[in-house]
Amino acid sequence: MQKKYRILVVDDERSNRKVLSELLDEEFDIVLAKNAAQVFQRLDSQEKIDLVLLDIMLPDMDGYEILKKMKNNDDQKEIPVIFITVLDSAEDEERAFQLGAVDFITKPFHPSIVKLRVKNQIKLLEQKQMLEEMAGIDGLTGINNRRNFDTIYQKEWQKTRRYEEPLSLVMIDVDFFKNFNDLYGHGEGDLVLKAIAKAIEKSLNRPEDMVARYGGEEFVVVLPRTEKTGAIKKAQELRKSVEDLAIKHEKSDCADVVTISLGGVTYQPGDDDPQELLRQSDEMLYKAKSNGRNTVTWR
Amino acid sequence: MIRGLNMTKGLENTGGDLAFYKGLLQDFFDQYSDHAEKILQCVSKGEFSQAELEAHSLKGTSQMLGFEQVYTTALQMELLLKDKDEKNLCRLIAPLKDQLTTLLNDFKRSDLFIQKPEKQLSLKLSEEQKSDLLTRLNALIPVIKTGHYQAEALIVQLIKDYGNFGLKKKLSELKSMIEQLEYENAFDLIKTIQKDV
Repeated sequence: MQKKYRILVVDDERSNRKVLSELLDEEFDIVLAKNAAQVFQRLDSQEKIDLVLLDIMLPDMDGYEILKKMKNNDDQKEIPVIFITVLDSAEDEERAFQLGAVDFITKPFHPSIVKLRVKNQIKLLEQKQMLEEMAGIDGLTGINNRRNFDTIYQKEWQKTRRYEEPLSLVMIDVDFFKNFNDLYGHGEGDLVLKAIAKAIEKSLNRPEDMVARYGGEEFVVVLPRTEKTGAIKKAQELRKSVEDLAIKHEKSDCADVVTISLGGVTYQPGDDDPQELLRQSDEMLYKAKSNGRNTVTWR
Repeated sequence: MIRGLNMTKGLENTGGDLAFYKGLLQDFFDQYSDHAEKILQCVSKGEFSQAELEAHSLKGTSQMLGFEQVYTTALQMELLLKDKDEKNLCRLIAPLKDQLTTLLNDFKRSDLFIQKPEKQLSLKLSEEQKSDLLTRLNALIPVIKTGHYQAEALIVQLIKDYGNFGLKKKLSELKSMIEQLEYENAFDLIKTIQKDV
């Protein structure tokens, strides 16, 4: 099923909200707000907003101020904002673009034109996401994505085989993450994944070490030229770095805070299949989970 | 004929669906019939910014719906309010009142006016219906809370299904609160309806 993008329609005037909603409802998921307070409620909620249609004159804060605040917030600054307003001077339009608006539509608008301009922005959004994917960046956490991992891992594997250097691999899974999402919501879950990615990245000091989001709540770390002892030590550091984030998790059976389980392997002469090493690492992760979680297990 | 209404423009601005447009006209008169008084009240209290916002809203909506005279008057009012020109503004209050009254009277006589049924049935809810209604009201809460437009369709369906069980007035009030994004009031009313059921 194709993703239905979520659009926040902001206008203090019910008729305007209604016309825009009716216009876009079939193709998009429409969320409404009539003032700045409601705008930030929506933006802070667990449901990710993909695009904002923003009126300028609102009762509690004008649209420019709202956009400024969004641009100062790491989680909101990338959300495209289209102004829809009766203000039609060149100064107003210029100010909007200077603040970072992606488009400026004056009222009364022509419905079919609004629809096309919204669709254009959504298309740009999709292209941006595609570029991120191609660039090897995971959109949520900002670390390497699975595609990038596959490339880098393959290269490291070849080096390891050629020079007979050690190579360690660590698979990581967030403990009781489903419970976390169920209790705190997917928005909070996303924040946890970001925090964990950051913590792991920070703990990896060497430029050749890499972490990637492997999928869902799974991460993978590649430690080139790292022997088993050093790799286990590093894995323990990673485990502790996440525990030290002290993110409350009331539905975890292994701790009061968010923790991770880690399963690792180190290349041994005779290993000849990179996928097999990956599979064994995953098996170790499974063991770590069976051993009570928040722990490191190694082959 | 509605004097002061450019219906072609209004329809074009709102997507071209006549039934939808009729609903918007109805909403306009529900919301703006006494707007001249509202602006005057703000001005007499010295609340010029609020008065400007009211004139601005009236200007935007009337322009979108095709009420050309009202739009022109509201535009003038907004400009005068920016300058806090109370004297000239007050001169426009009576014309605005007249324009709105004429529009409303013409509208009520026109075939655009949606006649509300006078008599409501008051059927008795079965246990199964009670349970369905309570479940649907509960399901409505998170949809309202997250600001989803879908809430409007859900409440319209509830009115259709349960309006004839003595609940039309309260469900219609709830619809209006949802449309106005007045969430706290909507939640209170849902609780009241659930209690009544």
